[in-house]
Amino acid sequence: MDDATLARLGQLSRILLDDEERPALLDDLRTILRFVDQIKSIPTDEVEPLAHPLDAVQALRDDSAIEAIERDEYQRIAAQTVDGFYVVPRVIDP
Amino acid sequence: MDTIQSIGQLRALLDTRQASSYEITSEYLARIRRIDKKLNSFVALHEDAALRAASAADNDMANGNTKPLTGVPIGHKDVFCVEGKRTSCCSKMLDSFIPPYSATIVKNLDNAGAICLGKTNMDEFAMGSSNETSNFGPARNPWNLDRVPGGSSGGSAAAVAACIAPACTGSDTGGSIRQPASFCGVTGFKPTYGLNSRFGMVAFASSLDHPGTLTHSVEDAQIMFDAMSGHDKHDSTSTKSPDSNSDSTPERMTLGYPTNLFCDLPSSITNALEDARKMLEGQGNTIVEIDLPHFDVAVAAYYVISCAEASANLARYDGIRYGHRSKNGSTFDAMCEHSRNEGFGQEVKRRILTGTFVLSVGHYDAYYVKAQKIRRLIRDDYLRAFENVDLILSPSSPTTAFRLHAMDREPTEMYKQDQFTVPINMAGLPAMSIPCGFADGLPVGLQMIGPHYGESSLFALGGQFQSLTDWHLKSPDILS
Repeated sequence: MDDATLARLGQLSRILLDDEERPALLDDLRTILRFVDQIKSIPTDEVEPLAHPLDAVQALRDDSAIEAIERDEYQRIAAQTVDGFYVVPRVIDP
Repeated sequence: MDTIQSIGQLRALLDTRQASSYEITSEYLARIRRIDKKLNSFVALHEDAALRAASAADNDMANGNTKPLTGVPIGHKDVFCVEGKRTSCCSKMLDSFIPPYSATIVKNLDNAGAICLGKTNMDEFAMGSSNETSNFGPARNPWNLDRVPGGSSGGSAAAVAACIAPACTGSDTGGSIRQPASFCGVTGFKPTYGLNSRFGMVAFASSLDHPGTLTHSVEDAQIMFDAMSGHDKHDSTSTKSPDSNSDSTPERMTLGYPTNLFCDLPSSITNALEDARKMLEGQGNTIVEIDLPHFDVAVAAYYVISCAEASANLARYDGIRYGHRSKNGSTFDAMCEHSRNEGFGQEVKRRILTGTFVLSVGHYDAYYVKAQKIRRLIRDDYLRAFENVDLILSPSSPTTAFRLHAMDREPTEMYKQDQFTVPINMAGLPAMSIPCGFADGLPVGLQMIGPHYGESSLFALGGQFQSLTDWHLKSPDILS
């Protein structure tokens, strides 16, 4: 974990990392990774990963169309909308 | 009205017309106004709506329409959406978020007649074990205001302990109900993964998140669970208990006791635990030693998985559809990056960045997949143990409530607080923390852990313990 890795993580996470918070974050992430590195001591070659704690079958709903989009209600909590569209700053640099 | 009122006692007052819901709700609101400046356990009060609902409940009862919680006021952790009421998850990111719908468990409790007093304080996005990461400042422990109430459901635990709410909802991803219950001397319960719907609960780590409750007693936990649980078509991981197994709960149980895990604990914790063990043994329950070989790496594996899931879940906060939007950044990407920098606190950023690291190219197998393999080993340890025992006993936390800022030095010190609770979430098991004594004036919690769908056994043993002890009937003198 170094400055370049932290910068890359900030980019992947879409979090702007202030210059003044970087040194402390770097220290913290190094500490956290040292801590979680304990898992490497456990042999797991023959073990299947477990993503969900229960051996349950996924329940599926009927594959039928429903009207569930209440656009006006959901867009009321957005920062900026116009005519049913979300308004964002420009996406492509000129 | 007495200081401590269980849901059962409130039900009796209401049913015998000794008090109306309006009077009871008014009394709790008055208590909150009187002492919550000291506790900071509520981050929003819904006074008008609560009193309107209480009047409606009084009418319902007068018309003979009484449900299990009709007229009983409760608090909701700020992680649960309540339609039309701010649900901030105690984060600046959701400071202005007014959900257009209610969480399923909120709806279920509404339908059972409960009245919402307001929203309770918590660690930001439920990430923390002390309530100190809240955007509203920390809640305080009513037994000692210099101490934390635990977290992340610290506000709910403090409110119930201080008797300013008879019951509250909570959520538990790695111990966030049981550890604050232990610190505040109340009953904290989370069922088997999936029995309480996660729909409308702000997601932290979806495969580990368990909604549950903080109450005065095991009996109240069962009343709340019966009201809030049930299959939910809106939550794809919602499950049903295979069958009602209340009839199969043995009168005398075999209890697993992993003594080798308790070696490094302070005597304040082990003394209370030993007393509880002996009391349960004295009632004809059998104690047997069990071994949980992968216990020691559970916290490390948990932080890999929970941070990975958090980094994916919290990717949705982009400043566009809802949540904080920065005024800085002239391009789409820059606006997103500024919004997330300004909206998230330090602990949330640490976990998102850690999660992003363990999921990134070159590290995915070494961290994320490895942690998932260890998750299977941990779950299998418990499944093996439950072939021979009905329930497992342990402390809820390795310490009593610590001082505010005591864990500021490095984040992993706080993570180790969860050593007795995170393996249970990794395995999706039901568990509860109940008060079992005091050490230096601070409550100590006993954790009871059940097999999948073993809620009935938990309620039975917890009820037996509380019928023999009065730890759960003690309250701090903050109200007087």
